[in-house]
Amino acid sequence: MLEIKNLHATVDGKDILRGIDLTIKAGEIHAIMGPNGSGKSTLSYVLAGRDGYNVTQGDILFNGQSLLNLEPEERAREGIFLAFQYPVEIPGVANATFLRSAVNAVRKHRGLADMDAMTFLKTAKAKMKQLQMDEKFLQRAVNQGFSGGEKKRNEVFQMAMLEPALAILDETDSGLDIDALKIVAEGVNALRSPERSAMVITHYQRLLDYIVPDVVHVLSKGRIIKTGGKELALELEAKGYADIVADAA
Amino acid sequence: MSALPFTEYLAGAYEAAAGSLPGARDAAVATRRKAAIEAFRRHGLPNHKLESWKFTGLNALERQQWVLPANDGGVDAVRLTAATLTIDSHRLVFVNGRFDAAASKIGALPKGATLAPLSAAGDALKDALASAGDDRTVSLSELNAALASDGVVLLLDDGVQLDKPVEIVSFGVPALVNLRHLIRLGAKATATVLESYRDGGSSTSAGWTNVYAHVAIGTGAKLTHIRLQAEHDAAYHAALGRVSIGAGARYAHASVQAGAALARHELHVEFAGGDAEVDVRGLVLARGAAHLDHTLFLHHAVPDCRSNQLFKHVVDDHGHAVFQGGIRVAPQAQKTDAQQLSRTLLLADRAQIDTKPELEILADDVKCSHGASIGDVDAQQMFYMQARGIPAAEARRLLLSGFAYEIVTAVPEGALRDYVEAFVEGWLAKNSEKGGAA
Amino acid sequence: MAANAQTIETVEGLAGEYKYGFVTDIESELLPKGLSEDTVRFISAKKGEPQWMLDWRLRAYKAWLRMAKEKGEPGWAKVSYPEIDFQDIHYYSAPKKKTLKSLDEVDPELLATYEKLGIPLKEREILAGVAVDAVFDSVSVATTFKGKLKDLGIIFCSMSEAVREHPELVQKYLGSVVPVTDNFYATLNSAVFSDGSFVYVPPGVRCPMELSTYFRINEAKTGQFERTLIVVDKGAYVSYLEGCTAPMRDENQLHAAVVELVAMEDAEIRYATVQNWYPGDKNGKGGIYNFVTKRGACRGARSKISWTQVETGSAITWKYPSVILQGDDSVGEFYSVAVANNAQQADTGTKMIHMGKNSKSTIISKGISAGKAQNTYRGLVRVMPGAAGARNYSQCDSLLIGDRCGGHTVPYIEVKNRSAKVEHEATTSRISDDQLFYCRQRGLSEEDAVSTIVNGFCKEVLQKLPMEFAVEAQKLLGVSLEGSVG
Repeated sequence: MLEIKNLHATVDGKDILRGIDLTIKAGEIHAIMGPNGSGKSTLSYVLAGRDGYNVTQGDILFNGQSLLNLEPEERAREGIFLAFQYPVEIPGVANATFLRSAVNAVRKHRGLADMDAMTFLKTAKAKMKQLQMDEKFLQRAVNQGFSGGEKKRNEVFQMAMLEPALAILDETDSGLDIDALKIVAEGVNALRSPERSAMVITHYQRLLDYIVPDVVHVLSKGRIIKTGGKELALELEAKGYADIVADAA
Repeated sequence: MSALPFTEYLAGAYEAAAGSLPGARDAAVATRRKAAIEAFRRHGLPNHKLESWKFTGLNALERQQWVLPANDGGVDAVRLTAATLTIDSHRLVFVNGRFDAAASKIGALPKGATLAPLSAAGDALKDALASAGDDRTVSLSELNAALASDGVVLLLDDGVQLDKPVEIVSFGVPALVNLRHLIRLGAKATATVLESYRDGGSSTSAGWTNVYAHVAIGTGAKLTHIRLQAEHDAAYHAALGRVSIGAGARYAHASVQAGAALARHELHVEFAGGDAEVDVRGLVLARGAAHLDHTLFLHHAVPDCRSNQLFKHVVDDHGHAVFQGGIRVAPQAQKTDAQQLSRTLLLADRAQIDTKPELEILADDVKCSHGASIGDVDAQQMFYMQARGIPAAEARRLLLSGFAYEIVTAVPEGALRDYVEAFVEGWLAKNSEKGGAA
Repeated sequence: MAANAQTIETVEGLAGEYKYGFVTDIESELLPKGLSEDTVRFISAKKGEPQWMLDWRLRAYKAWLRMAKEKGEPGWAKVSYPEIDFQDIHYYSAPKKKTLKSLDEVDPELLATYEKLGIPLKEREILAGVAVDAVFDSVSVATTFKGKLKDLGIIFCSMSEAVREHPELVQKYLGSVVPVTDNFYATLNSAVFSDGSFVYVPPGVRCPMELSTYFRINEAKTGQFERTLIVVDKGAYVSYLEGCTAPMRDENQLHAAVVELVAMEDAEIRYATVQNWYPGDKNGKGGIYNFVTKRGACRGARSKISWTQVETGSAITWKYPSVILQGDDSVGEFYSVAVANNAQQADTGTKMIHMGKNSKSTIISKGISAGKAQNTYRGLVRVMPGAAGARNYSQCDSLLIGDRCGGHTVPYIEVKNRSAKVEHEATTSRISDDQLFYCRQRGLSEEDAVSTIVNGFCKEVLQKLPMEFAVEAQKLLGVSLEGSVG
């Protein structure tokens, strides 16, 4: 599904990603772990196509097609979803309005008719119930005045509505207490299917107790220095990043 | 009423006094003064038709035949003590618009520091007389340049720290007094200046004090500038300050306006270098028929600067407060942070406030906001205090004191704050006694 | 990284062609250019006006001459444009066919024009239940729903008709809110006003439908001088909608309308405007000069006047819909969205004059600047000594898109009563890169993202519009900032 080949990227002229190779097959969940500043968030922004994140070498193939020349919205419509580490507030725009525009933009791309208001509302309410979110969130402005946990839950809710082929979760666990973490993880697990994949970016092993990855990668200084199974995460937790980074060096 | 037009009358006064003004024998100074009085004659007084003078008229000035102060007199010790700081300072006292050496004391100065009355400032006089603009809106500063009889010159070389505050005290007299100050801080220099305009007590008739101050703050320099205007209730006071702020510099200004029939303090502040910070606070205490005006123009001409304005107005009787706060953010001044807040308490039926905050924003990546609120003392707060057994008058005084607190606390702790606080509390106590603010 | 460079490009790239840029070819009856006493007499005669109306106009004309000589056009607003040659303007034009008995008699080409503008009269008549008094150039050509309104005693007709049929009402109220000598443009309007709408709602009647007028400036070099008067009697209610589009023109067209509202005891008037006249091209060539005087008087106790405006068009907008709160407990509201893109200049706001006890006013202004446009909010809140207990709340927010535009706020607050409570807040913000990227990551196109964010910024105002207008207004915000893509 996703093939990252020798990916180099710069931000503000600084080399952040220095040759990443990574393949995620359909149905797989990969965890990306690494110390602060290793390039985890940069990788997620590069995949989503954010301005200012310049690919200088390599390629990203999504279902065989290069993403490099696609705008962020085109990647989103192809099925790439980024759950933001810091979800953005958009004053005055109701969550429901925003999400319905997004859902219909994606549906249009897939040749589907617009989702009518009733169906949208029904689907949204069902998903919210799963995530134990108050329905009032639909009428509140996007992320405005949300607590940190509410914002993260809202990201997962949007993901559930958009049903992406590839979900990238950028430190979705940060700022969540254990109960909220479980709910968010359940939301992600509910989407698990042989057709869907996910990239879970996290600093801590904790989240991976609930979203069990098929593969774990350790990112350091813009390169993947170690890849393994879910036990690698436990090893990291026990030994800390410093040892692994030192081992790899 | 003068038979001559007002400007001609004052031009005549200038002609008569020119020979005895500081620097009269210096041709360059004389030429500058002559040009200044001509500029004033050309423009005349500012009037309502000018946007920046919309709320403050100077017609009352034109109804009087102003005389320049006689070169005599002094101030009595009690009055002087009451108007000055309790700590050691560099004190420059002006009576009749002239330096009063007996009442003044300039202490030992660090190397690279110049502090002198304008009348004895030598070559700095020419710099001090530089024009603030050939424009009707600032024509009073040209009148000032022509007639300035004294003032203060404070020059600090790079890195000079002036530990003791500079205290400028002027006692108003029933005449037209023109004081002109020049304050220039080199890179990383620091100073604290207290300007105080007090009632000379020599007469019950009105005087007119016309002040111009030019302030230049160098790179990384820091100036704390406190101003207290509390002259005779019948006095007129007009002041214009021009402040330029260098990169990384700090300017903290607190202005208290209290006593005058009409007072205007106009301040133009321009950022000249990035990462600089300005904090301007004003407290207006208006009672009787006082008309007290603060007009500010804050120009963010360069990127990355911060400014904060906070003005509080307490208006009693048929007092009239005016606040105009202009903020301009130039197209290149990205990352500007400019905040402004004006709050007003109207304590009497005939009290009034005119406020015009003005934002002119030409850059997009900025944080700018302003707010204004106007109302009476909060009835719920009053009730709460009374329910705790505090008498109404006392409750009100406490609330007013709390209202003024944010301005008073902008003054550095110690003798300076004590000085300002004592004045403010004194004013509020007196107001409470007279049963105003009921 | 350049500040939201992408946004700027989007907005610039999509400024696009003005959707309604076409000129209807109708033979016009055109008075030669120029303004003189004869022009005024001609207009009055053409309309078959009584002597008092002519006298009123002539008084205005003389006053205007005096103003033109002494002070000229007002210069205090933050707008700049070449001096207007008032002798280079046509002051009267009318489609030739007149005195139409039904819609069938309306010039088909004219109807087609409305069709293109999305105002199918007949459809509206049937579907929306909206009575449309369509003003094409200067003369009303079609009025619908008259019968239904007549049964309720509501008068809704052209100003010309009102002068003839209801002189007692017109004489009593015309100029009573905006005096003949109020300001340069209003005075000019008083002398040469061509036509407009007149509404009277009798005591206790609640007008059951939204009344609406579509204005359209068409004839080249024709100044439009609309005059609207709405009088709502005790306990009555009306909601009035005004919307406009204009064809593309290279030469600037002057529009100086006057709208007067009178609300008696317990009466309520809601007046909503969507204005999208031709703003000129990207470089500021062409476009409408929109110099409008709109003012309402809350004459009676507990009366209420509410202005809502969405201003996206015109090269220059100079407009301050105001409320004089004379009645005790009267209420004034001003909800405004003003968009200025490319070279547009907008100087708009309101005046709330509190005279009555416990009068209340609310001001919500949202200014959006893009391109190299200048957008100014200018407002006055004045509390007179007698207005005990008066309340005002104002909120003025500016949104800047790009680093070459300007957003300005100039509120005047004058309070002469201690028991008044006045609060004012203003903020300035921009569309952040973060917001844009977030929306795009969810699949919204860049232009939809801009539109979504802008509509969110304006929400408090848009939700004050009647439903059918709100949809149109949202689209308009899109069109004026994004062009007609998609």
